[in-house]
Amino acid sequence: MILHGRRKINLTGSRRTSLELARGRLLLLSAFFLFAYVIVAARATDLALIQGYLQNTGEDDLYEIVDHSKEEASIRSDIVDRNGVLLARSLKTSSLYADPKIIQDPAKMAKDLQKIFPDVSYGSLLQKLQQKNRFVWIKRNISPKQQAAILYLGYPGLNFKEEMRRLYPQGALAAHMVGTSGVDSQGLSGIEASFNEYLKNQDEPLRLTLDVRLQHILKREMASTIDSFNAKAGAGIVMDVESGEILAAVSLPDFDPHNYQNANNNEIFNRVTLGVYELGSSFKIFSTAALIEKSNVSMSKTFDVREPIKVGRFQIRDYHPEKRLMSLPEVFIHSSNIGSAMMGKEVGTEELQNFYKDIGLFDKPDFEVPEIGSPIIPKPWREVNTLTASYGHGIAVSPLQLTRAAASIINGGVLVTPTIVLHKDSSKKSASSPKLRVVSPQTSHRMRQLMRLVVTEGTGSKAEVAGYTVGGKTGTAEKPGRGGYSRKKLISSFLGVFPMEAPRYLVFVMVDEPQGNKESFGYATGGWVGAPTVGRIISAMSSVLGMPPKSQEAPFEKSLMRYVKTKEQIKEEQKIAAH
Amino acid sequence: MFRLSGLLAIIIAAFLGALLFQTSQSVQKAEKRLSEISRNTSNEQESLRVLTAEWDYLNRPERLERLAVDNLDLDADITHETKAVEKAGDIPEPMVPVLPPSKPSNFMQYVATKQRTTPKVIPLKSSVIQNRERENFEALLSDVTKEDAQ
Repeated sequence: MILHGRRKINLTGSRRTSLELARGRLLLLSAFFLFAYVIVAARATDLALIQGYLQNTGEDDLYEIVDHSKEEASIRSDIVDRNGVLLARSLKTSSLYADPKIIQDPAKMAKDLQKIFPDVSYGSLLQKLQQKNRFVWIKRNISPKQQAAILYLGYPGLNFKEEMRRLYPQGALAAHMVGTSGVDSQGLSGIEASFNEYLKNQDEPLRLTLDVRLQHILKREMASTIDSFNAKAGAGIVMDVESGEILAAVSLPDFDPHNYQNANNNEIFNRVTLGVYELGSSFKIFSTAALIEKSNVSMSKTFDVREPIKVGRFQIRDYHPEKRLMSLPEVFIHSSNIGSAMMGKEVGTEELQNFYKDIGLFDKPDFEVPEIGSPIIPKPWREVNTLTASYGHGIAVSPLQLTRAAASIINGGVLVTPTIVLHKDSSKKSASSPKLRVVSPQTSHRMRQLMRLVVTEGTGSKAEVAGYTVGGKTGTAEKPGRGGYSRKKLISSFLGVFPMEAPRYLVFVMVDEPQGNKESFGYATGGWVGAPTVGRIISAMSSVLGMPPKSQEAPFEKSLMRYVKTKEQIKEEQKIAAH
Repeated sequence: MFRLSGLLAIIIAAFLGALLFQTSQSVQKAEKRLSEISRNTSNEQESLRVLTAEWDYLNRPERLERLAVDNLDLDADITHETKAVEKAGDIPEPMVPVLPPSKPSNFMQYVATKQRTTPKVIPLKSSVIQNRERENFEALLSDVTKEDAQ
C-alpha cells in the first residue's frame, strides 16, 4: 500500500496538488514510524523472550567479561626449595568490610555476623556497624566458608575486598634466607628483597638450592644443642662442596616471617651471612693448607709447642697444652695454637695474606641474599696478626665465607662460589664455567686426611658416624670483649665434611656462648658442642639423602697414622724423659 | 519490475537481518560461556593454589616427624646404631616384622636390630623449633595479617 501511494506521487508529479503533497508526507512519516515500531517490537521480543530463554540463570552478568589474564600476571611468583616444596606463595584472600550508612538494622546484623565469626565479640561488631563513616573493616582474610555464609545472609552494606597475601608454609624454617615481604607484596629482606623484580614479573617459581628436609634436620639439631648448652645463638650451613650450593642454612634464634613486625633485631639478624665472627681453630685448615701448598712440607716435621709464644704484649697459649714436640698432623688434630702460629710464621705474612685473599676470606662474598657482612681484617696487619690469623683470631669472617673457603680446599682445590638459587642446568654450568684453583689436588688430599684424623684421633671424635668417614675441624674461639678475650664467653664450632674419601657435603655448626653442662663435664669447646651436633646432623642427613653406610677396607687416613703418637707412646716417652 | 526487485530487496534485507541477529546471539552465548569457563578455571586454579599450599603446610618436616614419633613405631634417626655392612651374611634376620618391608627405612631398622638394646626415641624439642603451633591451615591463613586488622 505504501508502495502504491509512493508510486502514485512520483507518477503524477506534474499535476499534484497541495493535498496530495500532504498525503505523501503523511505516508512517509507513517512508514518511518511503522519501521521504528517494528524495530522496537523486535528488540522487545529479543529481550523479553529470546534472551530470557538463552540465559535462564536469572543473573545479569551477561556483558561482564572479566579479564583474568591481567589478574594472573600481578600474582607474585612462588619461591620453592630444590624439590619444589613451597617456601613462599601469594594467595588471594577475601576481607569483609561494611558501609554502615546503608545498614538498616545493625543489631540484627551484628548478631548474625557473630554466629559466623565466633572469635569476634558482639559488642565490637555492633560498634563497628554503627559508625558514621562509609567504610569499616569487619574482618580481614576470612575463609571461603565464612564468605559463603555471609553471602547467604544477603545483607546490603556488606562487601568483600580481595587481596593478595604472602604465605610461608614452612614458617620460620628458612625465614632468614627466604626473607619477608610487606603488605603491598614488596620484598623486604632475604631472597624476597633481592629477587623482588623477578618475583613480580615472572610466572615461573623461583627455585632455591635449599632442601627443607635438611634445613629441618640442621635446625632441629642446632636448637637441641643450643638448648642443652644454654647458648645464646647459633648458625649452621650445609653446603655441596662441588657446586657451592647451600642445601640448608639456619640462623637461630629465628622469627615467623608472617609476623616479622613483632620480631626483635636479635631474631632477624642473619648469623649465616651478615654476622662476622672470630671463628678460631677452623682457620687452621687454611694456615696448614697454605704451608703444605707452599713448601710441600713433610708430615714428620715437628713443632715445639712446649712454651707459649710471646710477641710484644701478646702471648699465644694452647687450650690444652700437651707440652711436647708435635708432628704436623698432631698440631692439627690436637688444635695447637702455638704450632699453627709457627706454621703461619713459616708461610710468611704476604703469602698467608694472599692465600686468605684467594680463598675469599678478605672480601665481602658474592651471594644472592642482600644481608651480607664484610669481614673484619686487622689494619694495619702486623706480624702478630699473621700468627693469630693462623688459628683464627684477630680476623672475623661470616660462616658463609668460612664454609666457602673450606669447601674450596676440600673439594680438590677448586674455588667454589656459594649460591642459593638453583641453576636449571647446574651440571652444564659447572662444566663450562672457568675453574679457579686455590690449592693442588695433592694438598687437598692431605687436608682431607688431616681432617679425617681430627675425627678418628683428635678433638673432633664426637662427630664420628660409623660408615660415613666424617672429617672435620673443631673451632673454639674466645669472644673479644672489654680488655681482651674472655675465657668464659666462647664461640664453639665444628666444620664437618663427609664422606672424606670423596667429599660431597660440608656441615658447619657454630654456637654462640655455650655453657658447659653435666654431659660435657663442663666443657663448652667445639669438640664438645659442635662435633656431636654435626655428627647427629650427618647421621640424619645420610638417611634423607639415601646414602648407605660404607665399610672401609683400609682407613683413609692410614698413611698419616705413623705421625700421630698414641697415648701409650706418649706415656712411654715421658717415662724415658723422667729417667 | 521495480516492484519485484523492491520486494526481493526487502526479503533479502529481512533475511540478512535475521542472520545477523542469530549470529550476534550465538556470539553473546559463546562469550558468556567463555567467561563462565574462564571464571571457573580461575577459581579452580586459585583453590589448587590454596590446596597445594595447605599440602606443603601439612607436610612440614617438623610436623611429619612429630606425627611419626607419636603414631609410628619408627625411630626418626636410626643410623646412630647402624654399622657398616661388610658382607651380605652380616645382615641379621629380621626379628619382628613391624610393617611390610617395602619401606627403605625398615631395611635400615633390620640392620640395626643386632646392636640395638633398648628402643631409642629421639626427644623432639618442638617447643624450641616452633614457638607457636597453629592447629590448622585456616588458622594460619587468618593469622597472616592479624596486625593489619587493628
